[in-house]
Parts: sequence; C-alpha cells; structure tokens
Amino acid sequence: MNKMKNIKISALLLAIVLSTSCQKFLDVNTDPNNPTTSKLSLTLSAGTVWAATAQGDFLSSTCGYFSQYWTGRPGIALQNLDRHEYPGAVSNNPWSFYYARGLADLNFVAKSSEPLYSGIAKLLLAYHFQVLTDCFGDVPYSEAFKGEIADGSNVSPKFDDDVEIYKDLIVKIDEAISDLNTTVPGMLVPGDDDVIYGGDINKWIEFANSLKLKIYIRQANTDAASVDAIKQKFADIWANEPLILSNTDACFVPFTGGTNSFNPLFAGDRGAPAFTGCETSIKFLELTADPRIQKFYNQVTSGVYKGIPYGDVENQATNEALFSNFKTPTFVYKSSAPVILISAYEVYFILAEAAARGWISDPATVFYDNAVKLNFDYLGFSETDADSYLGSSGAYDATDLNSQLKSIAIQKWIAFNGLQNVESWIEVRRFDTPSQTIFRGVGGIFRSPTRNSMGDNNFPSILLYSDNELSFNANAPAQHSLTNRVFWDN
Amino acid sequence: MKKTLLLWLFGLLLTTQVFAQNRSLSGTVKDATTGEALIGVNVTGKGTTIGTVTDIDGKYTLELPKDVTALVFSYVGYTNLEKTILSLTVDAAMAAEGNQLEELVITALALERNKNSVGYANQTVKSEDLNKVVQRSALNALQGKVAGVNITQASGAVGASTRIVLRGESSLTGGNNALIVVDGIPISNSGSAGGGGQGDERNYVDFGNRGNDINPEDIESMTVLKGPAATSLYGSRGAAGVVLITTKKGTTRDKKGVKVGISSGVTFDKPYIVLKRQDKFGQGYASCNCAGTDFNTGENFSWGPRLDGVVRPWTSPVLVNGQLTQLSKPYSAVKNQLQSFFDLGITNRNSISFDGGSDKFNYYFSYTNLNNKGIIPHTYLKRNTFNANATANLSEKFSAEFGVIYTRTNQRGATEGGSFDNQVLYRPAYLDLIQTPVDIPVRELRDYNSPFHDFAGYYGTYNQNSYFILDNTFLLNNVDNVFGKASISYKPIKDLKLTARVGNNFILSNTQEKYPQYQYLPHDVWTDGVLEPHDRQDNFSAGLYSEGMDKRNELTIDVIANYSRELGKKKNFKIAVLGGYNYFEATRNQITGNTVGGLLIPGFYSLSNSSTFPETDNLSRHYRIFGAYGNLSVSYKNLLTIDYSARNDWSSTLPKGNNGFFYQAGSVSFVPTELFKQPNKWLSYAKIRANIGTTGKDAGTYLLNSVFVVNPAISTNDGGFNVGFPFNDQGGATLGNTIGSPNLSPELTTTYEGGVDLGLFNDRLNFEYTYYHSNHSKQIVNVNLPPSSGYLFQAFNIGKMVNKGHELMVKAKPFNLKQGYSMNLFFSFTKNINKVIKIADGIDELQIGALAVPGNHGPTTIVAAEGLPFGTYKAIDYLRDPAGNIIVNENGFPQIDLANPKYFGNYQPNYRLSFGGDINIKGFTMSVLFDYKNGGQFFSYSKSNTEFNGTSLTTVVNGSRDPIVFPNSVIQTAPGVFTPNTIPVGIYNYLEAAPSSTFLIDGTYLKLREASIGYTVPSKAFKNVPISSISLSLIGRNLMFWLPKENTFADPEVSGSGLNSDEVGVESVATPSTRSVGFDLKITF
Repeated sequence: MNKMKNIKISALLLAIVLSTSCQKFLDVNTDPNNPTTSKLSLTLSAGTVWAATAQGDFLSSTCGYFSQYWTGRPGIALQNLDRHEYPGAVSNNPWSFYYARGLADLNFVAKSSEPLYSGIAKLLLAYHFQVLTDCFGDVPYSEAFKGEIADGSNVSPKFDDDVEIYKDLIVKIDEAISDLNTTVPGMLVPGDDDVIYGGDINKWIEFANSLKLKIYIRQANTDAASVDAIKQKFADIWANEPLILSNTDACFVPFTGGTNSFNPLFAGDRGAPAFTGCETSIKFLELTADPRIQKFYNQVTSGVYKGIPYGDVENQATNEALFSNFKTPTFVYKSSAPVILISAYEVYFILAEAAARGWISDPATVFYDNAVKLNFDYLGFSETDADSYLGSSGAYDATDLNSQLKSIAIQKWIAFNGLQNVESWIEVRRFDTPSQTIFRGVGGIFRSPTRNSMGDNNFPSILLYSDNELSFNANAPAQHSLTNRVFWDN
Repeated sequence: MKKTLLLWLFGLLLTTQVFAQNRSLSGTVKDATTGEALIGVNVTGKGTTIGTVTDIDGKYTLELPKDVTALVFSYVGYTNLEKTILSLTVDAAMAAEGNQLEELVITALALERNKNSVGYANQTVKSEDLNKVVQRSALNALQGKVAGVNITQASGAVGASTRIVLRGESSLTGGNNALIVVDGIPISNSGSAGGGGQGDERNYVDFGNRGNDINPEDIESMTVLKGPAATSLYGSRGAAGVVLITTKKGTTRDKKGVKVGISSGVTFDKPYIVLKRQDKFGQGYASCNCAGTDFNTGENFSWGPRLDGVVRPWTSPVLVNGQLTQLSKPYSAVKNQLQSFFDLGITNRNSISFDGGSDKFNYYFSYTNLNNKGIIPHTYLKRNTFNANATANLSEKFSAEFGVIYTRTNQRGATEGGSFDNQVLYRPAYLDLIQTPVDIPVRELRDYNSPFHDFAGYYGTYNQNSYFILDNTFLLNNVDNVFGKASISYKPIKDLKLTARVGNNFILSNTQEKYPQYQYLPHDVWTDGVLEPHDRQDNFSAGLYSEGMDKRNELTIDVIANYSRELGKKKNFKIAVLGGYNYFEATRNQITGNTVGGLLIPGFYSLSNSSTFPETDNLSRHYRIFGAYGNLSVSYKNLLTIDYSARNDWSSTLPKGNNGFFYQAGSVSFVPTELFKQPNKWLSYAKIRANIGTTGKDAGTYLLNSVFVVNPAISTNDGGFNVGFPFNDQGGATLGNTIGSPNLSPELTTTYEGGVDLGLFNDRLNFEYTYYHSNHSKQIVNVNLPPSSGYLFQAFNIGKMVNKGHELMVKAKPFNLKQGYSMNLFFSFTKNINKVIKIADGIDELQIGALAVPGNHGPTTIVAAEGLPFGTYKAIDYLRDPAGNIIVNENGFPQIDLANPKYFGNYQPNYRLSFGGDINIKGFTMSVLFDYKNGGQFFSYSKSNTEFNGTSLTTVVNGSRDPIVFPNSVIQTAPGVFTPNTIPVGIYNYLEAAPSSTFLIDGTYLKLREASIGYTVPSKAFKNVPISSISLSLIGRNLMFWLPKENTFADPEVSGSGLNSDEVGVESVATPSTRSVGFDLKITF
C-alpha cells in the first residue's frame, strides 16, 4: 500500500506542477491575424475611405432616387425607394459603415496627440456628422464611440439634439484649425496617407472654412436670433479666410477605377445599377437645352435620352434598353467617379445665397455665374458653353429673394446630379419653404410616384434610423416617421 | 473484440491457478439463435475462481473439484448462463442481448464499466446495426438509432456536412455540435466550404465535415454520452455531449490464422424531389397581369399564358449554316422536368479487412474505397481509408496499443444556395433549375455546345445553362486526414493500471475553385409575338481562380491512473479510483489566394493569371487547454454504485490568472433486481439511476482584446469591382468590429438527470427512460452592439437557457422463437424543450442569423429571445385587424406589417420518434427503420423563389390565375371599422409582396429511412471451402417520405448551409436528398 500511496502523491504533485508551470504555456491567445495597435496614417486612410463609401454608396443611392435623378429600372422584381418605401433596415448599412467603421476610425485618429492627424480627422468627423444630422436629425454624437473599456464602456450612447450637434460642429472645426496650425518638433506629417489632399494642410484649412460656411448657410431658415448670430461669422470668414474656390482645391476621395478603388456606388452594383434615368430630371434638362445632360445620362439612340416617370416602372415597357439605363457608364456614373465632399461650385452657390440674403455685400449674380461656370468646367465644358447657358435658360433671376433662391436651388440640383446626391436631397428639402415650393408638392418640379407609400404628393424629409441601432441601443428613441424634419427644415 | 481479448486474458490468468483436480469437463458453447460457435466464453465452476475460455471452435475443457455442482458461462453481450453438471460433457447455448448482468459499457475515456454501475443514460449502437445499409458516413448511420440525438444532413450533395446535436441546443453562440471521440481521443470535426462560404445561405460549396471521414465499416460501436455525469471527464470540449466511437480491433485466433473480410456495396441514388410545380402556365409574364399578352422566350418567369400545347419557338433564332433557325416545341409542361435534370448517383463501397493475432499480439487492418458519383452532374466524392490497429501484450504488466487511420478524400462539389444575390459567378444549378419555366425541356440543354443552347442561342435572358456551368466550374477539395494514436499501459501492482495515451489528428485540406470566363451574347426574344432584341451584358463571368490550403493539427495527451479493488470479507465492495491529466492543443494555419477582376487567359487557372493583383489572406489559430481530473466509484455487490468525478481545466482562451475552472458530477445507480434470490420472470432487470453535475466551457479564441484589421476589404463582389485596401497604393488599418472582453469567465451548465432501465418478461421487453434538466448559464455571447458605440459586437457572459426533456428507448422480442428464428422491435422517443430564460439586462433578444431574402417581403431573422426557444424566427406578418383578419388596402392588396416583426415558431421539433425492427429466419434478415419528426419549422428559399417566378403550386388557385379576393381579408372603412373585402387581386401581385413569414413551413416528416433484406449463408455450407460466412443484402435508404400538405417545397431535413453555423432551419435550395437502393455483399474467410 505504501507504494500505492507514493504513486498517488506523485501523481498529485505532477498535476500541480504541470498546472502552475503551464500558465505561461497557455499564453497563446494573442490574435496572430490582427494587430492590437495601429499607425495613425493607416487608420486615417481607412476611416476616410470607409466614410466615403457610406456616403458615396448607400446614402448616394437613396438620395439619387429622392432627388429624382433616378428611378427604378424594368426587369428588377420591385422597386421600393421610388415608392418612398424606406424601412429602417435600409439604414443599417450606411449607419454601421459610418459609426462602426469610418467615423470610429476617424475618432481614433482625432484623439491622438499628433496635431496634423487629429486636425484632419476632426474636420472629416465634423463633415460627416453634418451629413448624418442632415439625413437623420438627432443622432448619437457626444457619447458615440465610447464602447471600449478604456473609453467608459458606454454601449448605449444617447441621441443628441440636432441643434446642439450643429453648435458643436463649429467648435470641433475651430479645434481642428487650431490643431492644423500647431507645430511641434518631430511631429508626424501626413503625406500620401491623406488620400484626399496628400498632406496639403493649406487645403484642409480651406476645407475647414468652406465647411463652416456650409453649416452656417444651412441654418438660414431658422429663427431670426440664430441667423443674426451666424451671418456675421459667415461674413468674417468670407472676408478673411481661404476657401475652396477652384476645382483643383475641391475636397474629394479619388476612386480611380483601379484595384480596390472602384467608385463605391458603381462597385456595389457591379456597374449594372437597379436604377435608370428619371424623367423629372431628363425632361427638365431637355426643356432648358442644358448640354450637361450628356454627362449625366446615356443616350438610348444618338442624341435621344429617355427617362421613366418617377416611381412608375410598373407601367413602362419591360425592355430596359429603351431607357437611359447607365449600362454605358456616364461621366457621373462610372468606376472612376470620385466621392465629392465639398466642391468649388458648391462654395460659390453658398456665397451666392449669402449674398442674396444680404449676409455679405458682394453681388449674388457673380457668385452664381462662377458656380455654374465651375460646374461646366468640372464636367468638361468650355467657358463659352457656360456663358451661352447663363445667357439663356440658366440666367440668374434677381427679381426678389424667392426668385434668387429658386435660381440657386435649381442650379444646385442640376449641378449635383450624380456628383453630390446627398447634398442635393438635403438642399431640396431646405429650399422648399412655406413661401415657395420649388421641387416637391403641388406646382413643384418633382413627380409624386404612382404608388406613393406616403400618400400622394408626400415626400420623405428624413431617413429612418437604422433598425440595428434602435434594437441594440437601450437609449435610442422610438423610430421617427419619414415626414419628420431636421431643425433647419422650415 | 477488445472485450473478448481482455476476458480471454483474464481467463488465462485464472487457469494458471492450480487446484486439486478431480474431473475433467468439456463441451461446446454456441449462440442460441444462430448456432454459431462462441469464442472466448468464460467458463467457471460455480463458487470457485477456476475457469477457462472457449477456443476457436467454441470448445473448452476444464478440470474441477468434484464438489463443484454447476458451471457458469459468461460472455460479453450474452446472458449469463448457469448449468448444473450432469455429465462430463456440458454444452451450452447462450442467448444474446439479454439481461446482461455483466454487460460492459463504454464510458468516458474509453473506459469499460459494468452497466449496473453507470448512473446515467448510455446508449450504444453496434456495428451490425450501423451498417445494415451502405452508409455514406458514420454520423448518418446513427440517424434514428439513438434517443436524444438530432442529426441533420445539409443536403443530398456528395460529401454534404452532417450536424449532430445531443439533447437540444445548449449554447447560445458557441456551436452545438457534439464532440466526436475515437478510441478515447477526440478528433477534429471541422468543416470546410467554398464559394460564398459556410453559414451563408445564398451561395456556397459544401466540402463536408471531417467527422464524416470516419469509415462506418471500421466501427465496432458508437456510444452517445449526454450530460455532465457522462461527459465531465472530457472537460470543456465535451460540454455539448460526446459521441464515442470504438473502432474494430484484432481478435485472437491462435492457429486459425488471418480472418479476412470482404465487403462490397453499391447503391443507386436518385434525387427525392419534394418540390411540386404547377403545370398550367408557361414561360412569360402574361398571367401576372404585367404588360404582355403572349409567351416570352427571354423569361425565367412561368407567369406566361395558359399552356395550350401549340407548337411554338422556344429558343432565339440563330444563324445555322447561314440560315436563321430556331427550335420549336409544344407549349406544354414538361413531365418529370426536375428529375430529368439530374444524373443517376452511384455510391460504391468496397472494403477488405484482415484481423488476427495471438494472446501476445493482435492486429486489425482494413482498406476501404468509397466512390460516390453525385446526382448533380460532374460531382463526385472519392475516399480511400486505411485503418490499422495493433495491440501488444508485452508482458503481464505492460501492454501497448497503436493505431492509425489515414483518409484521403477527393471531392468535386457544386454551388448550392438560395439566392443569386447579384453574384453571377456562384450560380447554384438547382436554384437555376427551379427558376426554369415549367415548359422548358431542361434535359435538351445538356448539349450546351449546340448553337441553340450556347451563349448566343440560349433561350433565357436571365438564366444560364447549368450544364455548361457544372461542366466547366471545378470546385475541388482534396483532404488528407491522418489520425494516429498510441497508448501504453503498465500495471505496477495488482489492481493499479497506469495508461499514457497520445493521439494526433492532422488534416491538410486543399481547395481549388475554378470558375470559367464567359459572356452571354445579345439575342432576339419572342415577346408578344414579335422578336425583340435583348442585351445580356449582366450575364457574364470574368472568371476566377482561388486556392486555399488549410492545415489543422489537434494533439491530445492523456495520463490516467486507474485503481480498483474489491473490499470486505465477501468482497462485496468494489472501489475504483481514477486520476488523470489531459492536454489538448489545436493549431490551424490557412492560406488562401484568389484572382481579382477576372482571368487574363480564359481556362488557365493560376493566381498569376489574375487581371489585377491577386488577393491573398491567411488565418492562424492556436488553442491550448489542459485539465486534471479524478473519479471515485464505490459499489456494493452489483446492487448500488455511487460515483463522483471532478475536473479542473485551464484554458488559453480565458483571461490570464483567471483561466482555471472547476466542475464536478455525482451519480448513483441502484439495481433492485440484484436483491432477488431467484431471477424474477416478470421483472428480470431493473435499474434506477440519477445524477447531477456541472460542466464548464471556455471561450472562443482571441476574444479578450480589441484589434485592428489591416488592409480591410470594404466592398467586394465576384466581378472584382472592389473597394478596399491597399487603396490607391496606401495601406489602411481599421478598428475591428468586436470590443475585447478581458473579463470573460467560462460557461456553466448544471444538469440533473434521472431514469430507469427495466427488463420485463425474461428481458423480452426492455425499457430505458431518462428525464433530464439542464441549466446553461453564463453563456458567452457575442452581443450585438449599436454601431454608434464604434463597434458591432462584444462577448459577454450573459444569458441563461434551459433544456429539459424525455428520452425513451423500448426494445422488444415479442415472440419466444425457436433456434434460428428471431424478431426484434425497437422504438425510441425524444422530446426536448428548449427555452431561453434570459439574455441580459436591457437585452431581451439576440440575433443569431439574418436571412437575405430577395424581393419585397421584409426581413427574417433567427433569434434567441427571452421566453422562447433558441432559434426562433422573427419575421413579418400581414397587417391584421383585432380579429386576426388580414387587412387589405383600397385596391384589395393585403398589407404587410413591416414595422412590427413578430415571432413565428422555431426549427426545433416538438418531438422525434423512430421505430423499426428486424426479423431473422434461418439466415434471412429483413429490417426497417422509420424516422419521424413532429413540428419544427424551416424557412424555405424554394418557396420564395418559386412563388416569385410562378412555378410553385401556390401560384395557381383553383386551376386558374384569375384575380381572386384574398382569403379572410377585410378592408378598413373607418378607423377601427373593418368590413369584408370583395376586391379581387392578381395572384402575382399579392405573392410579390407577401410577408416573409409565409416562407416558414412545418418541418414534420415521417421517413422510411432504411430497409433491407438479406441472406447469410450458414457456416455449415463452407465445410471444404476456406470461407466462414457470406451474406448478401438488398438495401434501401430514404425510400418514402410523408410530409404535411403545405410542404410541397423541400425535404425539411435538407437545411442549414454549414456545419459550424447555428443558423439552422434554413432550406437554402440545397441539392435534394437522395433515395437510394442497392446491394451489399459481405464475405469473411
């Protein structure tokens, strides 16, 4: 029995010895496939492209319908967006591409102590948060991206008031400008990893100021007290700060059509989109003899463009070849189309509106003409083409404020076709006011779809929240309706 | 056979003890039923320890003192027999499968234990029951033969995955497949898939799971262990239950030399197509109330006009010998259209085995070749298995075992899946087939080089010629699976046995996918009586080549000390102590590459042939766990046994310093019939058993830290139209989706279980009943986070789930038959009730899967929701009034309630039962096995697809497609006021917007799973021939299905797109299951 005891004891000892010495042996749980750290330059470029994809694919697609540039094409089972059928699930992709990907990455860079990187990241965050607010209203902002344990493990961020977000965007942009003007010995300097400006800080300053103008002008229809506070700041920037005033300074993510660099919208549907040209836009361009039509739509036969009435595919011929269906890439719909954040003509349109409203003293016509000329130039037309257009159907109507706003609104809508769909739909909503219906509703340019799920002559004024966000966030509000409005939409 | 050997050895030891010898007895021991000689039967004098074993001819001689009055015959698998000594020759006929007082059962760590001492449910299926019909895999062979087991096969494709779940789903997210253990060593049951991949129901190639590599012919028995008391010695990895496989070993044959067995079987497989199609309306869209009045040869729709049998063109006109020519046919439904698409599948299995040996050394060697030609053209599975087992008794103290199984599998698969989803490349053939109009003669398309069926002439604008795709797409998987094991045992003193065992499973899987390059050309389509040009720009493939190497290695080491001893004056007490140490390590290295943007040179498949830079990726995993365990068992006679086991595991996947966890189990078994002085005829056997225990389960690898993903892919598709990194020559690194969880602790399951085993009427009727209740808590769940947190998931220890249920097994021998005649019946019943009790504070639902249903039906997700069973469907319903009637709009269209997804049942069955039996008449054997599942739903992509394109029965109502008033519908005339609806609407129009819940179908089935009739030539016939037996059988599998009326769509069992996915209950237009008939021949020499 003694022998037995010995064996038992040694077995026990063996187990104990093995167990303790093996703690080190168990140290194999560090992920060999993914690093736990990153470099700012890598995460800045990742965040920039993710965010551009959220904007340039999902949101751009929806807003292309809602701006009535496009409508559903024949041969597809059933179209929803052009019947204003927009369940919250449609927002899942853009929402997670933004929050869990692009903006989370940019937020990581913005937190860093490298001023040039944090400055660029803060500007991009401000830009995209304005897009999110303009599309969704109240969104998670101040408590967003705090899920990590080191950040407080907040996995249920509150939704901030859109007014408050707008206020803070300016604060963040000012912080960014200050960061970008900081020089610290040995600091990291971005180069090609900044896929937008290649590390050109001066251009980022131009972008910062242009973005502020865009944020200010968006609030033009809010209460008088707010507007008073804004317009002086607007004028100061116009007077003192550099802006994006040439097409070469425009802010865009260059998708080249090369490996991994397909335009996100084009990539998403393999160049065979579910939409086709919409009659609303095609007819308008034809009636105004606008040469830009050839950059926006492809021809059915030589010189002939054919759209489908918005949301009416069910009553159309089933042969898609009879319509301008984007099967042949166009200037705006192609694999190498960039995703534009802010364009030079956009800044001139903003200035024209500010001038029309009397925020700045320069003549609005000059800004307006410059905007149209820059858009023609961007699309590859000569200045003569632009002048001829401005001298006829494109002329600025300076009669009164409404007529000026109408000229600017329509020109913005035309200029943004396929290039800045999201901005277009945002501005369509803002320019339609109780005193003037330019696009949507009785007498407007837009058509109410045949089977309008919102009821005749009703149009969406906001995007529904992502179902995923609402399901998984304990602090999320109830889903709002498509008729809700953002605070500046009055 | 191993049992035989041990007993033989035991017997040998006994015979060496020399007593005063007074008389010599001899005799022959035979099987009471077959009359075959029994080898190795223990023969002992009653009340003595003097005994011997029978030899190869069933003969024995034994010298006994004169005062010994009776002999006791004992043999594994047979009822003990006592015979009074009336003369010097004592022959015995032993009855098999009876009240096995000394029956040994296999338990954890491949330990054999007396059945009476096992305090938990334990069911074993023997080789002959597994192999009644030719089986494709060992796991499939288990179907319907054990209670409490749920086995599903992914499809009828060659090498399709098999999922095995014991006693219900036990883990919210951790995978619920049982651990498979071969001869005490767990094997890797990893699965692999190509195409869209595992768990993606849209398109994938199923390359099977490695558990299916085990050759059914090499299996001696399979035992299913459920619950912690049975599995706790397997530790964390056995938490979902264990399937123990014991392989065949050599038998001791002394001078008789090698036993050679030859087995050859062939089955012919045809698809068992459940999908029924309408035969009234043909190609086109005239009957869907769309624009158009006539048939349309470009369509994949069967929404055309009523079929009238008039001869009309069905292909595009193409230039043949300078003349525009087209094919014509009667505009009528094609008979057996779906069936005619498939090939005749053939499964051919040949194996040869050699076994033999002496008391010192014995061996078993086998080679099996399985050749399976699939029902989908060009698919096949070829498997060669070599199996060698050897045992050596080096001395009385030392013994060693060695075994290796090498399996080489070559498979060519085909894409399956329920949705094209904008992917032209991964084009599932069966999906294309069910989307074919009912009047297209699909068999004719086989000639894909014909000018009428090639890229210019092919009839449809949206369909593709599947025969071309299948012939020119090579989806290949070659697997080398090596499983080696070695053990050595040492008995330093009497009653103590030390065993060291090492097992290694090495798997190398090479996957190659070759997709051809092609472009369908513009064609002219007959539309409303005129030819209309259609371009087919979208219908192209740029070609793709991808190759992957996946190397897995799993190493297991066990050191076990086993001490047992009888105590007390009368040796009434038996005590057994076991202690052990277990180490397990799994590593995986995978590397994959694929071309991007298409192939430069068509038909040349190499990564170098990529249009732009090819993509490469790799994946590594490393996991280690070790545990120390102990077991104490105390028995009093054969009457009462108390058992306790405990284990502590240390896992690499848990936080450092907190990675150890302890769990334990106790069981008791009581056999009251042992109290009877005389065997009772009515109650011949009774055992009452109960146990309670816990099991722990560690986390998945790499959950503790947040990570970045380097060079992420943002948007990818099969045309190479990608967004991602490197982007414009810049690298990128993005934050991962999952927040690291540094404080994870193991999952915990507590189970209590009780049951009785009864033998009645001299064991002619046997019951085994078990009730169990398991609480699964602290589940490690990857919780969905709101994206605004910056992440999408985080693993938490949350959640509680309960499984409780009943298992009943009944075996009967209804008649007392004379020698050579027997009849066995069996019946098994399984009911498992699963309920999710809690997810977490503030979270009452967890998404397990989301289905990408094309069209306008609203989403369907599969969830774990509080108060409901795991895997509940959450789908969209019609908008209903308070009375439950469907509300239509002012045009008569039913409305769907998109804003309020509801819970609709789940895939878990209400109960299962299986029953069957066999009759043996003088060498003739007939057997049947029925398998029944009640309840459980499945989501049918076949329904969604065929209702969309107008081929399902539901697209024709009362033989017509005239607009109908939607049944049981109301219209809202004022708020809250509903009046019956009278507005007729088109069938197409309401189906097109039908809510996603309409695709959920009752998964009940009754199947005639197996049937066989066979004849064994009696051994007497081979007196002068070196053959010991020949048996021939005619076999059938899946001969008949009985399904609920609403299921005209798919076999409810063919569901689930992957083995490791918990997203089951999804019928993804997988290859139909097969109905097989064939022959099986077995010869032993």
